[in-house]
Amino acid sequence: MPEYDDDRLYDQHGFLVTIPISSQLRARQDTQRFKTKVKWITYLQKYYKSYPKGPTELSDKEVREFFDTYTPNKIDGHEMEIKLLCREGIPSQFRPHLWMRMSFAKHNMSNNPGLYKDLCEKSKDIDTVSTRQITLDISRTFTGHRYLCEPDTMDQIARVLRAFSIYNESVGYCQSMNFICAFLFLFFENEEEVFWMLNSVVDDLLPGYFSQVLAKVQVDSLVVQFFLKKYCPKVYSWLITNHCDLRLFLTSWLMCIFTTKLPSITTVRLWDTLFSEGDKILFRTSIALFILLERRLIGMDKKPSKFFGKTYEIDDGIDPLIEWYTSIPIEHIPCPVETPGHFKEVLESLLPAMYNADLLIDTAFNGLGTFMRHSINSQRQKIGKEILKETAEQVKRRIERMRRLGGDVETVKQLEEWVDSAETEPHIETGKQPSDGTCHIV
Amino acid sequence: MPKRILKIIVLGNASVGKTSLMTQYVNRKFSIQYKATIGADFMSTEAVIDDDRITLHIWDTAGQERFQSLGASFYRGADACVLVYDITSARSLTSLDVWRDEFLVHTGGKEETFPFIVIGNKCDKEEERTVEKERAELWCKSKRGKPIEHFECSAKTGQNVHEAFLHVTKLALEQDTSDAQEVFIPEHIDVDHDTKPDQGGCGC
Repeated sequence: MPEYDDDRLYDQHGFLVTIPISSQLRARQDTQRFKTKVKWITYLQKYYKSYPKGPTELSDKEVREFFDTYTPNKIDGHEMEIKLLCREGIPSQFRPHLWMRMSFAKHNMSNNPGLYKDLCEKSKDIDTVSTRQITLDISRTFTGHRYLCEPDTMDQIARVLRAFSIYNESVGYCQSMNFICAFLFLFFENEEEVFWMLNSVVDDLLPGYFSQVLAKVQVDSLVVQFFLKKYCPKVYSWLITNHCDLRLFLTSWLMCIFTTKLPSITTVRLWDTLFSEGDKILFRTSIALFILLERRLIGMDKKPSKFFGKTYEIDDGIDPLIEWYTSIPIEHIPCPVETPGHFKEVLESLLPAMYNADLLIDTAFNGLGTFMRHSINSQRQKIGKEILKETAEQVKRRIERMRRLGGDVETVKQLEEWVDSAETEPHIETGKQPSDGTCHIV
Repeated sequence: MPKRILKIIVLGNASVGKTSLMTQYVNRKFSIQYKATIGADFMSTEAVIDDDRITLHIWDTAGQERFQSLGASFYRGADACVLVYDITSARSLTSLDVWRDEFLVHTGGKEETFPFIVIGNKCDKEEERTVEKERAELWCKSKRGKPIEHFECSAKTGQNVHEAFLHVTKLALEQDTSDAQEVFIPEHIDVDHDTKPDQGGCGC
């Protein structure tokens, strides 16, 4: 992995910086990162005898050896400890190893030796709807990125996506997977690991998000909207009054898992929590973003929604608004917003400045308090019924059209099956929870 | 006189250049560094038509077929629609039927009267052309109602882009849609708004 030394233009992951981070925040984050790493080491030393004792820094090779030689073994009773550590952030040296093990990637990779190689071979020369789309998208992924735009890396990304398109035929390739796959390449050098990580995201953690019919991402967007009524009522009533629904914004947030909207240093922290806690974090994070941006959206003169005793006032010392938006003078932001378009414009102009990952995560987890998985799921099913009904009509037209024009027979069959199940037993799939049992912390 | 806001939707297959056209129109710039659009993107600009200032809200959408499922939420309240194909891709022209049909179903717009225009993009790539102008014009005439106006444009050089967007804006203005009321907002925005006490309501 190349080293990035020119930090005037690129962030530590090689993305072009459009809005600079404040130096105070950066200094605080450096200190915090160091403290967090010490906590992680203490944790590993406590539970894993093979982790070297003492305060010495391990080399990348030693870290890999530690994780590789450790026989996966589920440890009961430490989930909470791991969860909290992941919310503080996984040290970059441990990140790829822990992501592989917390998600289902390591498990699946060990159970399918050689499969990725076979898939690459099989998908090398095929020409399908998916591979054509992959070719179109590969040069339009993270344009301007320092490392991901190199021809060799683009080939690697394409290879993983092509292999995946024949591995999971019901998904094939869905736009947005290009961003997820490319983002993974920032943390993994081994293509096979990226392949299995992508599979974890698409199949285990966010099933249904990337399918032939994009119903689930709509449902989840509307579930977030439902929760805003409780957690961020002012934004909620703005949306209702302006006939605006969250699908307009959240489709890309959720499908790209924030990679295209938030700064990479914040996104990566969210991914740390995604792989340790599952899709629930998408709801928490989305709601937290609205809470933190509320005053920018509905007007600075308005008191923010009451929020579990925590209001982020300017005189709190750490003002999230000032700290994040150092380079966006407030007078440049049309506020309060007046139309769904302006809402999107303001919202998305502020997201790239959201460097304060600790505040976002604190708001999403501690601020929102207990956030029950079953209440998300019951809302999902409720809203799902409506969306599935609406979508089924659209899919029927698509099937009819494909038949008339001689579209791909397999896809038609898949779509028919989809309509059938949407009509007979409407159900929105739930992502696996990494702590469900099959996963191993280390 | 109330200020008029028009909502324009840009549709078409993946990679025909929807984002580039919109950006060329709004910023008069072209970049080869676009990202694939996921969901929908938005830009706003102003147009002056017969001395009236019109605010245009242009919504750019994802081109992969499965994203059509999202149509209902994105197309709501649209005043006009720009259908885009790529003159180097015959498939992208034939797909316009699908985009147009789905758009009409979702918005409930009348086939004969809803304002559409068709843009054949990438006309700077003459040597790679696979769609003759006549063929696209034939497509435009084959629809019910008045023939759809057709523009060959280049988002790269800017050729014809302004003309096309200006035309669609005029069409949208001529169209006396019944939901026009919904898109009016008071022209006079209260600049003292911030200093006044909370007047209740949701603050919008």
